[in-house]
Amino acid sequence: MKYFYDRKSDSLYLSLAERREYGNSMEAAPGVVLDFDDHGQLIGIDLERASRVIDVSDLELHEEPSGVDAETARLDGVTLRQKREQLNLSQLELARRLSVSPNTIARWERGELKIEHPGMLQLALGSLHKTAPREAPTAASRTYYPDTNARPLIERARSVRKTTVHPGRGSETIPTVPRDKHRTKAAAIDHGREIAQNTSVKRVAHDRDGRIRDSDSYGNERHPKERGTDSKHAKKK
Amino acid sequence: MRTTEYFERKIQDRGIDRMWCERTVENPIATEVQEDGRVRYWAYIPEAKHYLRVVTEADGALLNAFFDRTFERRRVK
Repeated sequence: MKYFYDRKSDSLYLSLAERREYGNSMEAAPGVVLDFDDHGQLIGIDLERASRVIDVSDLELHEEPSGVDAETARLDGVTLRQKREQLNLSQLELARRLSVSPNTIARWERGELKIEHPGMLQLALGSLHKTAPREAPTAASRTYYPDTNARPLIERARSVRKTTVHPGRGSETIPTVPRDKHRTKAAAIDHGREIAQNTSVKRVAHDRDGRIRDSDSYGNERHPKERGTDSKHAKKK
Repeated sequence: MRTTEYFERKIQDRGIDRMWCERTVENPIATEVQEDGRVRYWAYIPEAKHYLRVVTEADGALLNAFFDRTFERRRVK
């Protein structure tokens, strides 16, 4: 059963069988109209001045907004999928950005799961519109930079070169790739931590022999199961 | 004619042509003013073979519309 409440006109409609075609109506009591299909089956109840009949304050969370917000309220699985495809995001990527499980996205899109707060979802999707278009995710971006917005920052940092002037001996220009620019390991770790915090990724420090020395996570770190799913997906491709 | 969000939704759900509603308000065969000031209009719609009831706010904004079986029975009696 679904219902639609229009606060402005104080009208409430209870839909009992949405897919049946409307036939005609009967006024059962003043302001209470029953809708029937062509076979005489009850399909809906229309209440004028609903606030006089029931306590509509309980409906506030579920009422469908009017005007501009109506579009938001009608967001369903099909439109969610369309918007996701417009954003060039996979279900997995969208799930990560919205902090929901990929299964939730899949069930929303299939219409198996009701979108409880479509307005919030619409806002979230709107904010994704404002971000820079994503590049096709690479294995590296999936592994190290879950949020690809972080990648330009890191790549820019790598491309910057630092010129050091030696009095009397001229100057030399060295690339400021993080591992080359720091005089001490502690300084490199601090710099890495700063980048990781700013871009909400995981920081991993390696020893010279490649073994992991330590690590910190600053959000958006993906679950190992998700990484496993990705690698399988990549193999299929 | 001004309409409400509810009206727009209900005529769409019920498959009622907006022109039928306007025709009913302009040329009703019966009218009633409710206690709350809202006005009911009825007219026969040959295309649908039903009597249509249109409810408007006191200021004339279209509020609701449906094929009124109750009115048909009242007419027969």
